[in-house]
Amino acid sequence: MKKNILFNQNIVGILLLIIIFPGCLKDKVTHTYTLNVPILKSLSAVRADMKTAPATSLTSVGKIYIQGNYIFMNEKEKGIHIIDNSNPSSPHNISFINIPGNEDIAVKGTILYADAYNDLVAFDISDPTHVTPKKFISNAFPDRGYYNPNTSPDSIMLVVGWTTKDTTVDYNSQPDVIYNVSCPSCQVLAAVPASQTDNQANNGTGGSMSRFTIINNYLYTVTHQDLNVFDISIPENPNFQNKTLLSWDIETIYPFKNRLFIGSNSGVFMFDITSSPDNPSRTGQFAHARACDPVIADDNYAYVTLSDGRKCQGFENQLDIVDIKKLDENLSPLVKSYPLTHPQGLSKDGNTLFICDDKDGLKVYDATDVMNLKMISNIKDAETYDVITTGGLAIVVSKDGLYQYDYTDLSNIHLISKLAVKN
Amino acid sequence: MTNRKYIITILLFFLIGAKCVAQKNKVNDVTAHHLAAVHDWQFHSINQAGVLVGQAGSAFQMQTINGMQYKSWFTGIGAGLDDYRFRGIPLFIDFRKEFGSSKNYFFIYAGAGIHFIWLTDKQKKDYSVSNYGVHDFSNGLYFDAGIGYKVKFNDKIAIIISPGFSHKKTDAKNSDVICPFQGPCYVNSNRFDYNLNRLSVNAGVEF
Repeated sequence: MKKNILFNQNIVGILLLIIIFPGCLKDKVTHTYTLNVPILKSLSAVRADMKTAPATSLTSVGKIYIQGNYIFMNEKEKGIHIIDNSNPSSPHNISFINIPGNEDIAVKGTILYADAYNDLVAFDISDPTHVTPKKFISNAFPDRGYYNPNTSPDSIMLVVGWTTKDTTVDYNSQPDVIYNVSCPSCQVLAAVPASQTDNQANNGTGGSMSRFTIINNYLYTVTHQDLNVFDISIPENPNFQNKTLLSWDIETIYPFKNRLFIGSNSGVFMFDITSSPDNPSRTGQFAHARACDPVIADDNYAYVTLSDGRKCQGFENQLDIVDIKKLDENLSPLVKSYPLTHPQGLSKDGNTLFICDDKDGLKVYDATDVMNLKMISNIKDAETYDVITTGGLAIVVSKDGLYQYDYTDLSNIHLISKLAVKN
Repeated sequence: MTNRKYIITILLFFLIGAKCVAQKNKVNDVTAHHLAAVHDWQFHSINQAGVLVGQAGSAFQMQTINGMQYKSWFTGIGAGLDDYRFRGIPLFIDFRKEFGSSKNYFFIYAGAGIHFIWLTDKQKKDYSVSNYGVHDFSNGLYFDAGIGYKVKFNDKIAIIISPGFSHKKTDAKNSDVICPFQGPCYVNSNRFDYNLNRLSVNAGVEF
């Protein structure tokens, strides 16, 4: 009897708990996010700060340019790392050029050209540890839209950085939905590394995804819709020559001999500079479905990688090989397409084609017969964005750093160094 | 309210059932207890299923707990399936203490361990992807505690029912590099921490 009373009392107690204390059964959900508050500086102050600073760790990868024993790699909107690559097995980060608003670079001799917000800046890099600006061309790229050129530089305020604060809030009001809330007025762009340009040793080499390139005494740059030409016959004194309206969504520019290949979301434009390098003339166009498309070329073919994604608004991931002669003659130039995973930048050395295929790593092909590319190697060390090849050395920009591979023996392509990104 | 009625109904059902079995086995209570005392260390397996009820509704659970009993103490290792809000597999150490000297016992239990996340396809779709990236879910703490009643069906098998409190924790993280129109890119990170508190009711067999 006593046991039955005890038993029943306990069950009643449980039932009472269920009825009386539902508050103990609440789910507690919190959302912790990073609040980013802009740091503002006047354009005058920004220009005054554009000089060399001590070397800093890579926190993200960007576009690269190679000149002699140096690699110049930008961190988008922050500046340019100068890396001493005299020993590719042990690259050494030696200094940082502070250039807020920087996206692209090109080098001629001892002068480095960089954009900074709306401006084009020429820097003297004869001493990479003491870089100084030589000339500002104000509002060289007005369509970047950072400021009104009629306003005094002292009054133009620019975002040069962010202060961050972690914030935690209760999120019980919408427990079943996850939102990303700390992205005020943001625009997501894919991180695009460097571009491969040019043909003169004095001018260095960029990657396939650049918007700047140099042929002889001219700097050619593309914005989202224009081709701009700057005379750099006096390297430290660039002068704007003219602008050609192209199309929308222009992405990259690549030089080969006396031609410029310009990639856009909708196709590749080919320009010739033989007769008038200060006023390139369009000689051909290859249209493709909407995609991001860095392009390189050799004597006979242009190699275009197409990739999908939010920025590109396309649906294809492939390599298109285009007959340049048919481009000139306005005939259907597509030779063959090869499916890939999510290709980005590319480079070619002789008959060897290097393609950065994002999460699928670096793919190396024998391109002797463009109708039958043969894969030599697929290196899956990292997510790859762009590659520059130079004399047996492949410099690969990847999500987590700068990789260098020795490919002098194509049957034994091997990693010789990595400069890691530190987050 | 609906969930509470559901739980009350289950409890009442088993209350009636347990009372019936208890009456039937009353005669053998003393003999069974003597037999148990002779063999102090005994292997027991507890296999139970039930329901978890909380703010997000009700969900299915089941557990298997295997370990050793020494007199009125039990400890074992448990594993289960917990389908409340984010499906997962709890892996835990369980402790129990029985009370009473008859063949049927009250007991209290407590367990603690890790909840290994194992989302269903629907949960992955509903919770993992936001506008700015895929969220990664983490394993987290799991614990439960409560009381129970064990009714011996025969020398080897007992029916158990155990209401209690159950808690599990997980978090969902993502980070993305955001490149705004002006200013350098920055890493944008989010983390959602879920502390889920539930009423747990289990019923099963122990042998």
